[in-house]
Amino acid sequence: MTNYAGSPRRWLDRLWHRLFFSDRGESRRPPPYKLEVPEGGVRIGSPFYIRRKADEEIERQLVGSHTITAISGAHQTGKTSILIRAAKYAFHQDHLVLFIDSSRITNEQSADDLDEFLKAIALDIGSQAEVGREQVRLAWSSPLSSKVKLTEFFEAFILDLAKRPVSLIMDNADVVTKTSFCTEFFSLFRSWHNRSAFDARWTKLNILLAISVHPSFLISFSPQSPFNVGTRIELDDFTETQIRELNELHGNPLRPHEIAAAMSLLGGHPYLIRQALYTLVSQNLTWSELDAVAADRDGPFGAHLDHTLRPLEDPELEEAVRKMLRNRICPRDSLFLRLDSARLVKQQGRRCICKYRLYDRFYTSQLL
Amino acid sequence: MICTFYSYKGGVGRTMALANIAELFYQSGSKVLMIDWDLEAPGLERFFPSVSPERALNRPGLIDMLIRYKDQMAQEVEEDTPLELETPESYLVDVYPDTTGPGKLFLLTAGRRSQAHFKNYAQAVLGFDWQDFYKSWGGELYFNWLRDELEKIADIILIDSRTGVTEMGGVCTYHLADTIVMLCTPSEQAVDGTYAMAQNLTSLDPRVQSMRCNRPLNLLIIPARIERAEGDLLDEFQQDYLAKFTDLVPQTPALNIQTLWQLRIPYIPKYAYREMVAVRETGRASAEDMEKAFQDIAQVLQGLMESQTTIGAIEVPSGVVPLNSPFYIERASDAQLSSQLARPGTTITIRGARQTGKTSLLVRGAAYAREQGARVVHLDFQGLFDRPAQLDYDQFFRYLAYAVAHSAQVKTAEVDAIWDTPSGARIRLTRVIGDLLLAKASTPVVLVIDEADILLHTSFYEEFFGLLRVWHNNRAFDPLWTKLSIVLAISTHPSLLIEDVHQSPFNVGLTIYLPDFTEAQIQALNDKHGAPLHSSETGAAMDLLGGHPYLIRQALYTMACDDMNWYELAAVANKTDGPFGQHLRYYLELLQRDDECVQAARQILQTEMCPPGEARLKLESAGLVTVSDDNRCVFRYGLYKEFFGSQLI
Repeated sequence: MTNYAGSPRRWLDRLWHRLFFSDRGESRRPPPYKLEVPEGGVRIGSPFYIRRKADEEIERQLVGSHTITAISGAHQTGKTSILIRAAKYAFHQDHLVLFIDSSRITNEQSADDLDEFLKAIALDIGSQAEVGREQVRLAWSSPLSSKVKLTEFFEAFILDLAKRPVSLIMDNADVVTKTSFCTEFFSLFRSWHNRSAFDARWTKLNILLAISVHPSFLISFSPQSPFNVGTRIELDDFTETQIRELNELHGNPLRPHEIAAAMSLLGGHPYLIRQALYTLVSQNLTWSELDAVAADRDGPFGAHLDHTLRPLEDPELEEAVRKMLRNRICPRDSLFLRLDSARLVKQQGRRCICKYRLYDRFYTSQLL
Repeated sequence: MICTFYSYKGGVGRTMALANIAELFYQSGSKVLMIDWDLEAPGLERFFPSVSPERALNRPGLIDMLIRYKDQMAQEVEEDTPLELETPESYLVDVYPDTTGPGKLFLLTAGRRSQAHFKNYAQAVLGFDWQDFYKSWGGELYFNWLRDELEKIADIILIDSRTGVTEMGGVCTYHLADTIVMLCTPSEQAVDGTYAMAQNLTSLDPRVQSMRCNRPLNLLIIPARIERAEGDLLDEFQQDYLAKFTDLVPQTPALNIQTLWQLRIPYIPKYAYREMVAVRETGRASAEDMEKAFQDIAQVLQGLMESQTTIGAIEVPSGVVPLNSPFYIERASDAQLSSQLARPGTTITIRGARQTGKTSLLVRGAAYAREQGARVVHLDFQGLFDRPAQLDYDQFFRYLAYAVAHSAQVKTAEVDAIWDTPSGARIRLTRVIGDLLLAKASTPVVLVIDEADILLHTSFYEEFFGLLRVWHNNRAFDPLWTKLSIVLAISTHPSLLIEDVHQSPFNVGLTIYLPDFTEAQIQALNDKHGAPLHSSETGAAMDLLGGHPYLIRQALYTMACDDMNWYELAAVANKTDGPFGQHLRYYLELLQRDDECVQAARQILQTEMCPPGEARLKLESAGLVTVSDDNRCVFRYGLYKEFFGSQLI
């Protein structure tokens, strides 16, 4: 129920900094902590991690029995950061934690081969649970389908041996959405989830997946979609309070009146906000200097903005965005839904606009 | 749970009530912590003779703990020095240190105030600036941290608060309490004061709410200091009490204003004067009424505590409801299934729209069959095949045979042996079932099939269901096959996915349709969630969600866990990112793949009429619309109507 980040001590620690290292935390000052480049996950123990409602929800899921949870959020909204914290939390609850980074276990060979992919998973979790490679090889020599092989391996070598709850955590699960076996793969998790009702051993298993919503609209829609069962947790943007806190942790590079300006341009997008604060401090810029270059391709948000162009490689979507920029009319069709699930646009009354004003500026400069 | 005892006026027996209730919880085996927050008139320890004045008064207490924290925070330290706060544990007095039972009773006194220290104590209390503690010393964080620490120590924490309106009283009422027990004596001034305070506590400022981490706050207003011979005065008080406080009763199933009125605490001067714990002296006729009152209050608190802890135990609505889950609600379909399964050799199809409980019912059917001594073979199609569409005919049936063998603990080599015989795959699978399963089994066999819908777009769809029909008919020729029962769950929504709705459905044997929840069933589920839905709102809930099992459960879960009321929930119900977003988006995306369905849906929204035809049939069997005899056609639930209305019109 508490909403402070990590331990209360850490909170108090920050507060202590605020009390004694700043004049009431309003004016700009050297940041109280060593800056961290906002790339990849926020490391465990980093003072720059901001807990959100989703952290709490995930913890609630992990202590439940046989839950299946999909965390979804657009590019760079903090999925990995939240997942490694969930893993740590599960570990402290004395779970056997199996962490799979799907982007690491795929290679050329397994790229589009379900059997190779599932075998790679078996080897990966096998090594984490200290099961010999020999056992995997043996399990794989049976004539059954790969899904049944992995199921039987999991039952015999993970569930039967672990005398405690098992948390299977899978990062970058969207790698799978690019393969042709996407539907098949996620239906395996669904069948594991349903199995728990027939076989008590499977109630020990909690599954947690992180999926970028971004590619999900590129794949064919199907009733066996990973989101069709279990709980889906959407990563929220930062609230104003959270942005203020992060600002303080960076030594208040944003003056109080500039916070509203930053929010109007960047919303509360976790990466954009952090990148903005980081840039302001590390390059010693003012907000108006940053604002002037924000939508530039070689500006501080360039890499992120380039990424938002990828879905628009689909000419249909590109045209839809162009139309939207010109007319602001919400098409209310599947194109809108696709852009919406990529978190590029939002509905405002009957109008359809870019999700963040920064995107609007960027798309206007690139597409019109 | 933190429970703060408050009274608007002094001398109502507040501290005595707290001491007695603490003792009762301790005796029933709970870990109890009492905190003396009445800093200006402390003395909770006096109710417990086992705590000698030396033990209580020479030991640092609450005020010392707060001052120590400020000292710690004011120290100059190196930047990287971790902050080690003292936990409240070191300040506690163990009231009964020699106890052997499971119960524990701890006391956190107001502070060190033996004669030698009394002056310091008085100065500390008078000089303590509570506002400044919040503003400059992180009081909000500190008390949130303290709350967590206290809850690690004890199951129930009872705080004795200052009377009237004070800053120090504000901390333990507004900020810390989960429940406030307000004692109200029969005087106009007390009733008005209590009423004003209660109004204030029930409409908390959003800032206070967020400081409380949005925990709900319960008020228990209890009549106190009732003298036996008060007659008319008592009647008048009763009227006043019922009129003013009826709306403030916590929303739990077993509680109403009458039960609270029954809790009234009688006044017995002896106990008040000598500061004794009445419940320790059981058997004294003079104290019986009082004892009874305290026991009843403790019981209500216990109930509140349980309803609070259930929040953590509320099951997340995600797919199948596990066997023996308290959140499973039996419907007419359960009885239908078990009575059919009691017969030998039956074929049963469970049909229902998406998320209406097909797998959960299937699981219960399987459990029932097992109890009856049958062997259950469970085939969940979504976990069996790597890519069913790419399998060849022989492989498909061979995998099925392996799955049957695995589930029945038959060696794969025996399947291989049958597969080596010269015949077709369907005949081989039939032999696996007949020879390896039925012939060897001394008990009936129940084949439980889930998610066979995945075969929809494969060439085996017809083949597989045709084979089931063959097995079904085999019973007529071969007594061996009467040992076999088949139960399968099929979703009705795929009709939106297939072009030809007349593609032969599986229609042998008994078909069980899953009904929506009835109002009584919704009530039962509501109670299991700690009754977040007020009884007057059930009608509104049914208008919006009908009795759709998933929608109802998701609504109750969201209300209970996110502490929302019905109106807040209803306001976001039709949003794509709201609590039902996943469910609604699914149907929307499905619908939008079929222009005719979209047209039909629009027509239904605008005219409530739709000519019979394929599109209407699809919408109807997907559970989206209902059609009455006069061809009137409406969306099945208020929510669907609102959502599709906002998306399609």
